Amino acid sequence: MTLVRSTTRYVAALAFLWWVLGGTEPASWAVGLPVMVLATALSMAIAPSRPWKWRLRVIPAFAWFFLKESLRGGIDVARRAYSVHMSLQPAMLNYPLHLPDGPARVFLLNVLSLRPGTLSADIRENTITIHTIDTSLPVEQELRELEKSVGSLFAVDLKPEQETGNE
Amino acid sequence: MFLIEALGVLLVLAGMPFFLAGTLGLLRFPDVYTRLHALTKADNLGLGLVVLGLALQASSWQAAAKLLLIWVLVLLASATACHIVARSALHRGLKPWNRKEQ
Repeated sequence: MTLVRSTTRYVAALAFLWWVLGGTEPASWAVGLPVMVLATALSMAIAPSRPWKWRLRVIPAFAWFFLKESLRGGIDVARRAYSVHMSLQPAMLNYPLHLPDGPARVFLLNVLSLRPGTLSADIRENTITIHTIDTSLPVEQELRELEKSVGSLFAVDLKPEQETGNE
Repeated sequence: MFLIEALGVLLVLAGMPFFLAGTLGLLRFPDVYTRLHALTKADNLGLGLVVLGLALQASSWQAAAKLLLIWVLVLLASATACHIVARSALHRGLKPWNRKEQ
């Protein structure tokens, strides 16, 4: 039952995407329909979908936050690329996650790669490995805030500090 | 209407330097990780500004929505690709560049 429902939702979402991108041209659906079916089957085979939802009333605040951070991230890295001496102080950092396993984590990994100075490089158990372009940036503090925002967007609770059991 | 058109052109122009910065970073930065920083973040902002500028000049709401959707899809693809490249580099034992060791 849930499988049928999630499959239907998946196909419907892909159909909507295709419609926005390609319109109602029949020739475009000749390509779109088979691809939709294949993509759904592949997705189900690789990663059985886990239910998740976004808190609707948190979306505007998160979207605003994301746009602001994209602007900061782009300006920050552009400044380094244009500067003669390129102020780079890169390092790998391990960060113990407080978000529970699931879609919220994947979302966090993607968002943090678009924020200023951080790049998700790996995830193992409850620890993520992050590459930072400049160790003088307040990476850990900003990650903690990002985790809170993502947790509130996905309506999931963060694990308390001492239970994350890093190493 | 003229104001909106002008704002659209300005936003597109504002996006250009970021695309250039992404490419510049790709060429200038010392290792794969720092290059990924340049590509993901600068191109995200560059494309975002260009898309916003074009959406303001779009002929219909559907065309504007399509442009914004393209931005979101590119973001998703680039963040995912960036993570995969960084992880594979890490698993091959590539150490991040460090100024002191050069």
